Amino acid sequence: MARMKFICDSERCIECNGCVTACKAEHDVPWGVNRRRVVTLNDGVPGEKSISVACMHCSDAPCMAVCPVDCFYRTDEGVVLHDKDVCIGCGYCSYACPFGAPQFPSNGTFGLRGKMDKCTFCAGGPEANGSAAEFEKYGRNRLAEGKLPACAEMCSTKALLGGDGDIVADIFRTRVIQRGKGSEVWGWGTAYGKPAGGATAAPAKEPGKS
Amino acid sequence: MKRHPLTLSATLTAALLALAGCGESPQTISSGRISDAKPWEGAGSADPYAAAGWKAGDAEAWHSQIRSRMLNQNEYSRSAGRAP
Repeated sequence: MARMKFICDSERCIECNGCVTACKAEHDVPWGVNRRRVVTLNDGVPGEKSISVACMHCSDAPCMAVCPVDCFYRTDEGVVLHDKDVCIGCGYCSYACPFGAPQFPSNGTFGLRGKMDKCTFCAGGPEANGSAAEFEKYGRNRLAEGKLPACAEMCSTKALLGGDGDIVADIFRTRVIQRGKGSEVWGWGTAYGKPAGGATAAPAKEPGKS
Repeated sequence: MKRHPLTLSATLTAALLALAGCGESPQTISSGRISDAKPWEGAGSADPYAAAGWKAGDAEAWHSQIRSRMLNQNEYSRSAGRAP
């Protein structure tokens, strides 16, 4: 069973914000709500790194744990979605999420804080697939069209990868091994520590070998 | 000291009524999983944006379609030139 995940290759992300634009255009996301955004670390300093961040569709999602009205659910594909008809816009999920994924429109039903909006992995919501009601509340349902999320599919440098966790991790791992670097922001080095002696986390490619 | 049975039952009834005030009825809006359609069921026959190569309702075909799209993100498998 697939576990849909995103991963962003910080060595490739050029901070073009194409993923942000694609998301907003695809789902007709209202002004002031950013389901996806690009975060730059050490901006302006040589060697700065950028990563594209949205809902990471956590396997043990904190937003699900703290929601007082239990509006979240997880699909068979591992996508964390929510029901806007149940959401009361309290904002608990916003405080619980370590990625700042939950967004709140400023002109919703509840005045200053409307019902929560977040990345759906382009999987819509509980309404009928491809229906007008689903689009109005959650945006396009690309998964039901046999496609992956728009942000990942249009990424020009293929920095942002989306799909089954095993597959995108394999792609990322292959890159790191090929170029001999790039797992410093996240990946093996971050999760399991760097090898002793100052060696790089990924094994360097030996010259003369293909 | 002997108590009258009527007094005893009245006392017990009063105690039960007082304790009932401490109770709270469930206020849960949603309990359990929210139902949602499977993605392999498709987005409707009239959807002009559905990707070609699979048929709505066929779970195997959908999984195959999505898997090929996932693997297509790996340009190492698509091009001879291997840019890092």
